[in-house]
Amino acid sequence: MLSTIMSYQPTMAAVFAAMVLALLSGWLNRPRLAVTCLLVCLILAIWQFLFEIYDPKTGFRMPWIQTQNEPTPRSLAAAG
Amino acid sequence: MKGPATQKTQQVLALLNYLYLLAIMVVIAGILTAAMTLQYAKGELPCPLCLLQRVAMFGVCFGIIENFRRGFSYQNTGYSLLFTIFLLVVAVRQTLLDIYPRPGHEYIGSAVLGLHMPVWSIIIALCLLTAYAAKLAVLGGDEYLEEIPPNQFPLIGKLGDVASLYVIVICAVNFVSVVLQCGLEECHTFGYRLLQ
Repeated sequence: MLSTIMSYQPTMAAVFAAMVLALLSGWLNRPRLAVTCLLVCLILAIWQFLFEIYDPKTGFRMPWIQTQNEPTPRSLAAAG
Repeated sequence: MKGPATQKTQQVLALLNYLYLLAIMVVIAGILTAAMTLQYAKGELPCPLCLLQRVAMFGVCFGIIENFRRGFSYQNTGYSLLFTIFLLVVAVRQTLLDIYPRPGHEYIGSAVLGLHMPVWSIIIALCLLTAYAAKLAVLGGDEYLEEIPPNQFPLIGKLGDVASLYVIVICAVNFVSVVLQCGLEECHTFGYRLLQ
């Protein structure tokens, strides 16, 4: 399910187009249009970000980062 | 009823507020210009997450530009903070992605003062959050700011307009550049796709 959703990618061009439109609308005194474009841009950017960091094998996890505790003398002694 | 001394203090604080916002926008515009210079002069193509960090910085500028166009509002501060948080999340994730170099995952581009772009982005986002927090702490309870538009300070207002226009222009340049680099597809490219 998640991998199906994450297979759809918004284009980066759309993200930048929405931001340019937001800035231009703001400059041309169209505040509602500007804020709408800004929110569209944010949503597309978050979607793009999630697409970029998603891996079909590991999902959003980062297995290359060691997160297990190193064995210490005390933990080794407790393990017997 | 406000006394003249209070009004004068409020005018000074409003001036400082607009100066502060202008400084933030100029610094962000400088950072974006430096990134674009490295891109066009040294041929360092931005990766997708690098491009999203640029979008986040433009989003921060949006809030500031709105403050200069329509007067100060905390809604605009909210827009800037939203994109600052987005910048921080993207930059932290990219730093963690490349922190352990392996094939296909290593810091790309030139290091500036020993730090790469995503690490700088974390610092930039933290500086922005600190700057807004400090402003709220020092000028907290400043509803009067909304009653003092930037055009009461003609020079600051004009400089704000110039900086705003510059940010809009470089955003448009980035849009064209992204279209040339990626077309309408994914952005993992080693050249400008539409120019090949």
